[in-house]
Amino acid sequence: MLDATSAPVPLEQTSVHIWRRLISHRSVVVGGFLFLVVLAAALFAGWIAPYGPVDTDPDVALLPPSWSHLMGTDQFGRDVLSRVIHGSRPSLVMGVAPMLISSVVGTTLGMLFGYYGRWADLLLTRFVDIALAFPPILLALTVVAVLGPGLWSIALALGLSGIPFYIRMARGQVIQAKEAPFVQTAIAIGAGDMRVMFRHIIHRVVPPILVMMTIHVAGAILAGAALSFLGLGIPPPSPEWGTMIQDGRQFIALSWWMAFFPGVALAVTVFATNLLGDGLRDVLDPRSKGEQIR
Amino acid sequence: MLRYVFGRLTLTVPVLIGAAVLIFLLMQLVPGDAVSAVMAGGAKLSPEQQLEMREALGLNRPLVVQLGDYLWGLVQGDLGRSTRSDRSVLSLVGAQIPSTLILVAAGMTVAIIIGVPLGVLAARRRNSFVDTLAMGTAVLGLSVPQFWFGLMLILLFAVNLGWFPALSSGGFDGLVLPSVALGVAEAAVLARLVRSSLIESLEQDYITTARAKGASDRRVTWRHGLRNALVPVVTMIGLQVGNLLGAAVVIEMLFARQGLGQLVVNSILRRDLPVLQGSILILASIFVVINVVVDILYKFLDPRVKLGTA
Repeated sequence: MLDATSAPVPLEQTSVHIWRRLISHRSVVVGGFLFLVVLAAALFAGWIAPYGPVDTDPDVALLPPSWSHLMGTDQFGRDVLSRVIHGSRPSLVMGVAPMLISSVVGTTLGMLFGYYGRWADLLLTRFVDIALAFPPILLALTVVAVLGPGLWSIALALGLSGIPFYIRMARGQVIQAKEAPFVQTAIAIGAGDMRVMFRHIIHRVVPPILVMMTIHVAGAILAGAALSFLGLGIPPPSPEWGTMIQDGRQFIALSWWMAFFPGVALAVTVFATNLLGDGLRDVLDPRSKGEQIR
Repeated sequence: MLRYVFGRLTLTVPVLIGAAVLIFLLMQLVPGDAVSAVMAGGAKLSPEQQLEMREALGLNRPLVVQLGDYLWGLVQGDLGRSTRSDRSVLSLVGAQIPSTLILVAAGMTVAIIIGVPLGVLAARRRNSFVDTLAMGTAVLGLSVPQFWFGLMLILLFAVNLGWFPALSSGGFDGLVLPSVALGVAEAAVLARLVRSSLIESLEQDYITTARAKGASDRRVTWRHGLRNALVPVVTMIGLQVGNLLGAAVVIEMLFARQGLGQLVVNSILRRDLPVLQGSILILASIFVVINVVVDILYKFLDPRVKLGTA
């Protein structure tokens, strides 16, 4: 459809072109591959894992890595490899769920208030200033204290503490885009608010938000694991990487493998997501330096 | 300049009040109140005694009145009392602050000592093998969980080599491993920022001028390039202190080190809400104040930033 008020789309921004640049970007390829491996482990954990994640066997407690237990066993004789594989599930939930909560709520609020402005915007900006006065993990810690420990309260806590970052980003982009000549033209010839926002402004908002979402997943996985490490996560015996590292801490002098392998899994998952985020930023939003939400 | 400093300081007042209100309201959402917390601690109270205690603590009053009371207390330096030990929150928090601040400062020092030179190296040899290696290491450093990295440091340097204690009891020896565990991830963030910022500033006209005057490569990088590249880096350091304050909570638990981390986590596990509320508020205030200091430093570092407008 021809539309006189649309901004002309430069060649390098067409979706085909962006897709080509993405799949030829080294960070995106490596990060994407590693992330798919973790995702596959989470989806097919039941088939891949050689043992049940909570099956105990006192006869084989605290065994070092061997052919029958590639990552060794823990103090109850549970297979560490199987627990690491199953542990990918809560980690992905703690990474993705907060990202979805913060990005949907934060972007919507930021766009709406940035667009309509006035006193409500001023109020929201003050609120963001206040929320950002708390280091994010401490805000999350407080919310977990309110909700009580558990996987979903960690996810919700990290989701809530991430919202102000998205508000600030989306709001800033909308305010900038509103001043652009093509948007002013669209408004002048009578395009409705919704049309202006979803047809003209959204192009400016989406790329930096996508980058933020990817990097947020990495930060949330780390923060979630840290909260679990503190004993605020899923109660035992369910496998979770942060909790496994805490268990391993008590046996660190005796059996290093209990803490070592869950940490490697955690680092690989976060590394993959960070690489993906870096690549996305290079392609979609090269000027920004990115911001960590932790 | 003085006017700017003063203006910037007064701007923090509404943020701090807002933070206090936010944390107060969050605490109201916790199921149960101070009285049920005391009972959970083992005290047996009859329903009449519970009523009396609620009355005495003022828990029956409207929320707004309680909030006003809390804020008025804050102004007077009264953060409430622990429901578990009957000590004032201020004395509990005050006793732990120095240990945490020392750890955060040490962690930031590690981050700067590793991060800045690494970023400069990568920027000077842009797109070389050294650059790829340095930046690859940086992404890896960002991805490794600090508490796990700390545990691996314990395994290597305390359990196997015996160079440092596994538990941090204070003193310099006990500070080394926790501050390295804390600082490495932030070093990675710094290295990336220093690199991109330095590359940008080395493309400016004044660098060409400096080179034309015959300044050595080293002098151009460190004196002309880095000085200007440091402006965004200083802002980042301010934000990083916030991350470190949060991460210190976890690292203190790992090394069983005295500090606000222990206080915060124990207050959550024991449902000692006044202590939690007070600790988080103090941590947030430290973060706010540090960011003001950074803002002020920013004006000193970059004369192009206009003064007067706060």
